[in-house]
Amino acid sequence: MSDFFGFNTVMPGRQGGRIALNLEEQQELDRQVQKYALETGEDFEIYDYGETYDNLADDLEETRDDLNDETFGGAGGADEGTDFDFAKNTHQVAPALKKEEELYIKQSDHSGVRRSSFASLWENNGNNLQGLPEPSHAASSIWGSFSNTTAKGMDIGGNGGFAVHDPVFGQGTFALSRPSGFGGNQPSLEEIEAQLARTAGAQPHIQMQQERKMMSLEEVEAALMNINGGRPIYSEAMIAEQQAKQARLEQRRAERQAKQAETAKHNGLMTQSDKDFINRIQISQLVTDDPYADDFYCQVYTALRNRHLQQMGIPGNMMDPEGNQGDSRRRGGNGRTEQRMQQQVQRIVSDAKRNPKRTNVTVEGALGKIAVNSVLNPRQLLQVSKRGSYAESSGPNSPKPPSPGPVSTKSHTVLGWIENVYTYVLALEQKRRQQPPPPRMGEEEIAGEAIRRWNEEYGVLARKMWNELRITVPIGIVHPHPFISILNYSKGKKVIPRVLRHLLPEQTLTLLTMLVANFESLNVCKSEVYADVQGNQEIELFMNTIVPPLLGFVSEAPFRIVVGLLALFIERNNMIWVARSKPGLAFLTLFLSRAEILKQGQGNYPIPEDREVNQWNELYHRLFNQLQTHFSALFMPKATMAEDVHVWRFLAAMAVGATVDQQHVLVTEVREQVLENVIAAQTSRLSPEKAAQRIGNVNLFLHALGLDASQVSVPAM
Amino acid sequence: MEEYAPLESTGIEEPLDLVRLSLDERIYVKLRGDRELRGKLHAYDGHLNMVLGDVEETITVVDVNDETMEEVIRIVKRNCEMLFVRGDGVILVSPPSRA
Repeated sequence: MSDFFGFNTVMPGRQGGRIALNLEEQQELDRQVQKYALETGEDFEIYDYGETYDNLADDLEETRDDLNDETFGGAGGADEGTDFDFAKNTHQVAPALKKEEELYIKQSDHSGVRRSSFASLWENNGNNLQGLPEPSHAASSIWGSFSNTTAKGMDIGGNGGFAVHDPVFGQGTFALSRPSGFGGNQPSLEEIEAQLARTAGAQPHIQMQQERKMMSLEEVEAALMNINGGRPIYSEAMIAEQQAKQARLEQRRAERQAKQAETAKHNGLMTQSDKDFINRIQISQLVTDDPYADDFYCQVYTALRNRHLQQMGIPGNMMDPEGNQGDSRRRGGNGRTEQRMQQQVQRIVSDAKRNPKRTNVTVEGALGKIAVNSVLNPRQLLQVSKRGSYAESSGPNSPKPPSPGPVSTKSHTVLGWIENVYTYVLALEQKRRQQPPPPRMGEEEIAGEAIRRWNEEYGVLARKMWNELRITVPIGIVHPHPFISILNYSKGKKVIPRVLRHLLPEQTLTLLTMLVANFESLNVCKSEVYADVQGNQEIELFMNTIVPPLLGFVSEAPFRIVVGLLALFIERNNMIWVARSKPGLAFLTLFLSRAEILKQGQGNYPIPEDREVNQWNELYHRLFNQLQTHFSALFMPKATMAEDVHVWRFLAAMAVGATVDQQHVLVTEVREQVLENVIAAQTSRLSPEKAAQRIGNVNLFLHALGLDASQVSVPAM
Repeated sequence: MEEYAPLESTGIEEPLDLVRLSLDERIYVKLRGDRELRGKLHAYDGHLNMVLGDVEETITVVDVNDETMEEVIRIVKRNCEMLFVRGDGVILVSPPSRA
């Protein structure tokens, strides 16, 4: 053994346990050790036990090794016998086993069993798993035979396999006498049973063996039961099931291993940095420098849903606020990978921030440009030149603010305005979210600078948005007014509440003034819109988007403003026309009730001056005179009564400010509607809720006059 | 503030701007496979992937009679509350004819 895998394993020679050095070296070493010992004060003697070694181990007596020689054929040279010589035995029967196996394989193929032999299976699993040496060919056959017996609870797994020298089966004979012509889809089972029956030492099996070919499964079973005193060792069905299950499992495992083996040739092709690189490319597609805006819908949806859940009493954070439930599911186990991933993402984000908006790179010497594409910046297929031939009408490349000059109201133009308004509204909302925090102690200067810059940018955007709304375009140049044209689109209506949040109070007032002044050109004022579903939707939208914020504004306005607005309203619009629309009536009600409240001096508003009150009274009379003889026409002809509530509200608002004569006129005009409602409520044609609703509607009006529906005498039917 | 890319007051610079104008409006979409959609445009992107609401889908099916080789044209309609349209099937987008 001088060669260990080609390495020189010859150790330096030894002498009495010490390394053999020649005399000079020995002395030199000793001297050095002594010198070092002097210097360090260390006693090196204690480490040198070469001379103190007392050879104690030589006297140790190891007991119970008396038979070692016999077992291992050691020094004694005694004949150790052949009891343990498996290899010799198996070698003798190997040809027979092999033949046997061939037969078996053939049979298996015929009967449709998918695996070729158990031996191959075990070679795949057992040996690889347990690291055993590859068994000889004959041995593998034995493995194959014995693998079936696992079903009987015999533990032959792993190393135990070698110890199977089972007297029951008698190894050699077992293999030789294996039946080969046995039918059925699980032949090995019957074989085993037959074997078991035969080797159990009982008599009848010899006869059985002769007629084996005609025997059925049941017969074997019966025979088996005979032998074992009428008790089946195990249930046939159970075994079959178990075997099938095992077969399935093993088949699956084999498939998986085959697949793994197939891909295994690619193992290790990529280094870790390669993988990181690929990861980076993939993740970089998703990276953005403005996560909020890119994830806007998810964020808003989550916020809304959380609020909804909280309303229902479920804490919102039960849901993952980041919406990454999928991630948390995947998180188990590979924490390290994930951490690396996160680090990479971080790096990519910072990279992206460092050189933003770079869409292509030009490499020196390259023939083209390399486009850096991402989800947000897809490859551009069409190159449309900016500012093409469309720009004639507004002059060359001038992004000038909307001119107050001639403005067309063609649908494209108006739609364009609306889109611009949306653009600025979105930008403003984004700015709001990026609002710098209030300054902290000691940082006022820096924070103040940031706040000032933010204010400036915010102001610029707000001004642009204001311009896009075209509220300041003078009335009468185009009809309808541009702002009204915007409001005539449903998306134009929808944007108004969002616009109002960014307007200064005086801008809101201007908006309201413009709206009031051009009210009758709104499409929701046209009576034909009540005819179809879409028109009604538009009205709904108007009532839901535009009325509430302006109602809030008016309900804080001083008396003077309310008077001015109503004056403008009456001046500029046909009241009979406007009052027949739901939105028009809503605005009228709004002004009337606000004025009434202020006249009575509620809240912390001063009681208006007499001049203003006189002005108001004059306005009121004008309005009343215009609407007189039309009050009953305010009710929509076919409307269900629940939809009349706004009319009753308006009548109530009128009634509060009316003189006695005017009240009389009011009651006379709408007497029919009052009666109709009361009768309808008192007769049993309606459900109680609807009846109550009708009475409630009527009472809105009657209470304002100091009356009640119960006082109405219903004429005899 | 050019990054917010407002449409110029003249309106249109590139084809997709026209589609943008139709946001929240009803549009007509012609698709491959003899399909047509009419619905309200909620969202779109550069690939003309679209989200449509309140959609009526019209599918034209041509049945060929095996014996006479006669072609029978059948129109199947269905309605969807919300529909995601993948852009690769889109042939045409237009405002519905206002006839």
